[in-house]
Amino acid sequence: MSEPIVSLRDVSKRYGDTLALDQVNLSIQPGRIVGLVGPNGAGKTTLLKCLLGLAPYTGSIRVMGKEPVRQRQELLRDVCFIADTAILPRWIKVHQALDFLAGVHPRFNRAKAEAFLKETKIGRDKKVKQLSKGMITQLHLALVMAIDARLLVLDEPTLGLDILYRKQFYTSLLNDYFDQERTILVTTHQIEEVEDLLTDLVFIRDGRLILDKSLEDCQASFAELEVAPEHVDRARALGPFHERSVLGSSVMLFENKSREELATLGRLRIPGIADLFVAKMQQGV
Amino acid sequence: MNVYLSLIKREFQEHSGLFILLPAAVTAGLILIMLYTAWKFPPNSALFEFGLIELVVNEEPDAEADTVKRQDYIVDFEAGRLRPLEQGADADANGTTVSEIVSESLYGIHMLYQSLAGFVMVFYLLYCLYSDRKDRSILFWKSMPIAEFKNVAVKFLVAVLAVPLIAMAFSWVVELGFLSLVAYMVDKGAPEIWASAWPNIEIFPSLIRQAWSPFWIALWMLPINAWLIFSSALARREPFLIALIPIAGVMIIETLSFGTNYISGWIGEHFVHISLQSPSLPPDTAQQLYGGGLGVADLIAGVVLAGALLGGAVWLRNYRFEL
Repeated sequence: MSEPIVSLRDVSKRYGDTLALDQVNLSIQPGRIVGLVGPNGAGKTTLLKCLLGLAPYTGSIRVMGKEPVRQRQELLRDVCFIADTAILPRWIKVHQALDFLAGVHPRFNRAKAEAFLKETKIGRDKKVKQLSKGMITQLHLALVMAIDARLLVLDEPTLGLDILYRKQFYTSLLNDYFDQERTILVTTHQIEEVEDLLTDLVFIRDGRLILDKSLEDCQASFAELEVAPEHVDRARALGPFHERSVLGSSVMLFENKSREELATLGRLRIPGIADLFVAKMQQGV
Repeated sequence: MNVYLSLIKREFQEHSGLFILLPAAVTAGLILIMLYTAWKFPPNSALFEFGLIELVVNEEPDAEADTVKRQDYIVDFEAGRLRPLEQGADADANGTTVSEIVSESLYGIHMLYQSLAGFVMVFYLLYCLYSDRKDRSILFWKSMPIAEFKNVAVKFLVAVLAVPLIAMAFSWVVELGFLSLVAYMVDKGAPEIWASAWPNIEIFPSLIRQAWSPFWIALWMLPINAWLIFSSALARREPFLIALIPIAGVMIIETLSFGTNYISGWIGEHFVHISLQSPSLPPDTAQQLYGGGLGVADLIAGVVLAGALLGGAVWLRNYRFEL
């Protein structure tokens, strides 16, 4: 296993009396697309801010071997982030944004950004405030994708966009940006849309990580069982961590149980990320 | 790739209205006023003085006076006339000469623009490190590999040097326009007056003195301007109040507690020093108007204080985690 691109050890972060992150440990390998998923107020954005040196914390964080707060400037040569669609300055014109990045970022490839923008309807003389929300996201993505960075951090990048722009966003990201050298860390509420994109899944609740697995491991560890009515009690005896009712049938989720044994109790399948997320969020509540 | 150049360009792109359009609009307005005045007061009817003072030119030159060599004309405001000042006579003792009126008008135009620059500077410094936090675009700027030191330094230098220099450039346009108009009108209407006054008008020394003025002002204003940008970095809301309240509070406490006014005096003397000791004033005028005040030690103290405040602003930009 290679050196992790992101490494957190016992990271905590407090806002007054509120513990936003509680002893978080996380390791991200290069070339992965990690989904950081959690409900509102779970600590996703706080975690990203700590990674980017935008918030103080206790514990240890290394991003590409650098401490984010003290070495933020060097770090940002290799890390890009999109916080959300609202952060591009509204007064700036598209060509001014291109000029600015070309002037300050050593890894920005203007020709590449121009090529991305050519695929859109964004005029070079338009100000950001004249663009639609979807266009602003396209512009921001074009700027970011033209930077030869090793880590891309996306915090709810498609928030407020319609389904067409959301799909387009992730398609561009996957087809035009991602390769085995790059790592993407993305938070989103629309997990079903990134389901096919992710290689790793991290669930966070109340500042604690409650799941940190690769998709392969998730598929190997978790099973969803639509239980035959006559086997409900036997299935419950195996200790599902979640149970719900679907059209009169019981659907149970199991972790690290024998698939052979479960298969005798009903229809077995791999759970979707959304179902797994809901189940994990409700577990122990 | 030039980070500083890109940062400077960014400031001008974002604030082109404040930095360029505002002085340009004032310039256009003043030129229109001058053209209107030229049209309203034809060359042979009055001495052009910005339309504020109308002095009737002596239409019947004094034959006797014309025989003596004149060094300039004295403006007799009470009589509303001009009278020649003989060679060797003390101009100061006799009143205000035409050349002095023209020179002081040029200085007045310069001060008008520097006041405008001062207004722009205060407004810009108060909001330059606040507005990007308010609209959250700071997250975009912070995603760039640029040291906050560079951001703060560029914003500060643009405010304290570029803004007054731009204002001065516009001021020169108006001053030269004014001078051309005066020359045209007075020369047409009363060539002997202009012939006498013209050699006494120190245009280029005056413009060169004006060129020093932004640097002089920037130096003496350092602590005040640094306080403004620090307030901008510190404010969670309304930087203006953040800048004003602590200073006003300290002044009031000092006055109430000790009955002294050292702080307000010190701040006031900085302003007095700037407005009266500025090299844009002719040296003798400065000496007349300014009778003491701050010295080198005060200047050094101001620079040190400004350095600390700028350092504070950089620190706040780096470690102020309220995003």
